[in-house]
Amino acid sequence: MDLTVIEITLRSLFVSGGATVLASIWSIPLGIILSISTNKASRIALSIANMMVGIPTVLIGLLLYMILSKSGPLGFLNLLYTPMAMMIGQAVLITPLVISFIYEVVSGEARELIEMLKIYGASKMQMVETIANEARDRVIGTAIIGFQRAIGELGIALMLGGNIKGLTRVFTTAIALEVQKGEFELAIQLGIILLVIDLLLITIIRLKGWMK
Amino acid sequence: MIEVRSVSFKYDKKNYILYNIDLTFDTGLHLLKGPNGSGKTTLCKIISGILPPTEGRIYIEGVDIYGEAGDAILDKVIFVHDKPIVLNRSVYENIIFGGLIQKGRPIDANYLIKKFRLEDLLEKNAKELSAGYKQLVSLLRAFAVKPKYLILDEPISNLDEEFRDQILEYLINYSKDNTVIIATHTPYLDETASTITYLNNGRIKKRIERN
Repeated sequence: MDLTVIEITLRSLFVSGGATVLASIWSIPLGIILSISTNKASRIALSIANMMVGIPTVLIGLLLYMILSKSGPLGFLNLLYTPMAMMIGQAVLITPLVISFIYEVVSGEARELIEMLKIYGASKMQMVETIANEARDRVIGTAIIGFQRAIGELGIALMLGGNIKGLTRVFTTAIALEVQKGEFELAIQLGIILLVIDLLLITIIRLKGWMK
Repeated sequence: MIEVRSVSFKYDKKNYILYNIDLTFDTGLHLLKGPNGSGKTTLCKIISGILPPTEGRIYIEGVDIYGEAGDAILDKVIFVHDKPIVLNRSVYENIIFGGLIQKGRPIDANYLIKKFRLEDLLEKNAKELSAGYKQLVSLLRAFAVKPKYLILDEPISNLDEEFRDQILEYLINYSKDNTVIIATHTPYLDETASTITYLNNGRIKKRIERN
């Protein structure tokens, strides 16, 4: 296999894997907290998360571009056109998706568990920890779906990564570039690998029963 | 003492699940009876502090459990669902769960484990147990924290005859010093109960009190 293909594959996995880990760190506890809480603020937060699930990736890319560019509030971090910027962008992209899925998983299956934990006087942190542990399989399934969304997006990777060869080029940006150049061979190779990764993940989720 | 004062509950704007319920439960064994959908479970949840009533108040030892000081008094209340809830942990960890959640809370697990002969199952994952054993573990988790107010929803529905009799005997003894409220269809405790409240369509149909 071409070295470029291997390099792009590994970078794509690294960036989107990192984005999934980052997003999971805040989205999983947040999704569980929203399912535990019954106040109005939680319901509003959940509605916002649901609305944001389908937000176009270029809009997130544009917003983060303005924040991370030299003249933006976080320009001093020099993150623009780095894998880290792409990671952050993809993490922001999948955050509403993970929150919504976690909410569905927990509120659909763990309502009585939540009540039981409240009865025994569990703190919010203990509830998050216990529910995450009890719904572990579904939580992993949700994270994988988030990863699939991240690895398949183009707008953020292009705007925040810049598609720099050897630095920020990933599956989607490379495929787009190669098609523009009329070099279909590499684009097809990368497309097949992306498809195989997607199918593999779906198969794992189905076989393990991590999502109904 | 638990006081239910003018409690009503509805999930939507129209239909009342419970309507204008006034009850008191002193130390002893109290049964809530009625057909499915009569409001027994909802009342149990409201008394346990996990489902605020739409109208009315619940007082335990004179404290409004949904008021500012409610959390402290709710430490004395345990509710056990009709559907057994066990955690993906060992049977032992499930039984002592109350102590794991609230460090320092006294747990009386060893006595219960011996009484119900669960020694051989302690290391087993509770998720792998039969429905009957899951219900037993759910009940023992509640018994282990020795709540002053114990509220049970259909506690013996999955148990075999032997465990059922043991649990009923335990509850009768336990209710001598504590308040035990049981929502049930079964007649096994009718003779020993201090009160039997019959609900129908969310209203009190009849209440039998014994001294």
